[in-house]
Amino acid sequence: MTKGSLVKMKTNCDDTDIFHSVTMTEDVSWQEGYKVGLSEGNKKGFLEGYGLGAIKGIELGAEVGFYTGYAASVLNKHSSSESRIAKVCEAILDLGKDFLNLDPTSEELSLNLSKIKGKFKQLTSLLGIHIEYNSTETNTDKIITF
Amino acid sequence: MFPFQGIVHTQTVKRLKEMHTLTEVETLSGHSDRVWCVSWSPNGSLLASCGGDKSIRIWGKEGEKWICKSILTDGHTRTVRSVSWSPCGMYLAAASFDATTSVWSRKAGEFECLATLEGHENEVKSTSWACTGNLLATCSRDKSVWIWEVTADEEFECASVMSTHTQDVKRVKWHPNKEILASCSYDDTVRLYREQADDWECFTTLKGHSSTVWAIDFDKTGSRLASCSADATVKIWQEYEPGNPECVATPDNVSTWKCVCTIGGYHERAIYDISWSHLSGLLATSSGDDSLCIFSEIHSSDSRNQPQFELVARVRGAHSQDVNCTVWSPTEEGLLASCSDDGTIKLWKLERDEK
Repeated sequence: MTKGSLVKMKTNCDDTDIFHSVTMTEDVSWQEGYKVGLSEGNKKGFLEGYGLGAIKGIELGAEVGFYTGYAASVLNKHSSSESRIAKVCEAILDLGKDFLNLDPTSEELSLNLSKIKGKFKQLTSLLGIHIEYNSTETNTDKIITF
Repeated sequence: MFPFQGIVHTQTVKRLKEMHTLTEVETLSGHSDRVWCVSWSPNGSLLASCGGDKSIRIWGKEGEKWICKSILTDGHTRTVRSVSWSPCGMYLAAASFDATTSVWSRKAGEFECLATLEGHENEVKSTSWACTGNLLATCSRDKSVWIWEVTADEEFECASVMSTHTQDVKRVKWHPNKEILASCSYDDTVRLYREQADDWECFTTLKGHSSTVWAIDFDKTGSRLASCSADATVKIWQEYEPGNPECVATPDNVSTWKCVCTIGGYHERAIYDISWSHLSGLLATSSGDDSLCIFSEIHSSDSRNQPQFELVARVRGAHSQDVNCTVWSPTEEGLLASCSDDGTIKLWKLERDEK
């Protein structure tokens, strides 16, 4: 029975139907249970989702922070004469800034990250050094390569 | 019913089909494992090959015979997947599964390793030199395409890393006269790149093949691109420049590329390579069905928007195993090289049949 029809019944029969509350017990408790369950579920789901979001956010933030921090320090040490290196560093920093303003659910996020990664690879190639971002604390699967 | 778009049913063609015959001229043996790639030097005098035996061989003609002139063995620790000559013919780039690209310079007939380019995470699949010789592109299983700039003192500087493909990138190829790069991938697409505001960007993605796109080649003018795929078809893509008479939309004033022809029904398995002759305009394809096919464009009322191609020659069992690569000689019309998993390289001559 739906809520609308319940209300309708009440107005029609007023309080004369003494069996009403008895016959409706199951329905009423089902509805109450549903409400309580839904709000509990919402809370739990929110906590779980929030936790997952926070973990993923930390992972992504740490990675982007690593790239931009690296680029900033390289940019600091390099004179403007080596223009290509400086340009790549600036590009990484700009992309890093953009990253902060992106909607986390947007596709742009992974696009932006792949651009930063590409620029970072270019930077390490220009500098002639081997360095890779490894998230050692989380997700150990990621660093297994073959 | 003829199910393949772009090919005229033989009954509708009034004129007689001009058949050609592809005749084997020579077999070059030497590689001890599968041969992955052959490449003609720009003046057609040398042929470079490479393969699973980690070596690069340079072949040259002496008298009537092609002989192996040099073997370059110390460059790579794993399979050498492909080789390509610079436009001046003085440099040779080799892509290897050891994640590096080696560049060799030819001085007084001798080859020496000039540079080893590192950066790709894993197997490098292909290399290509831009028409100016100042840019070298490489691509890899790591899904990225790298562009290297050749500096005045023969150093290689990374100009860009592009990770637009979502899968293994199989081949890179430069436009014959512009600084436009094409790449194709296991993600079934072809992508085109250009330099924009001091950086490189992918400006268009060509979708249409239903499986891995193994190879691409531009025609002589560069306004058409042919692609071949594991879906056993060849597709011809036409460039529509801004302001084109067909009124094909060109957003942001960037040329649009459209598939104008699909050639199917000839190869039974994946087509691994395609070569578009700049001399004759003929297309050569090689496939996992061990055969070679030659296609010619036939005269049609609207060859720009609806070109039609017909098969003019075919060699079944050209090799005893997969034919990995086929390429037309840049200087001698009708001369074709192919190489295979069977460890051999073959030279072919295409001749028109006597009527």
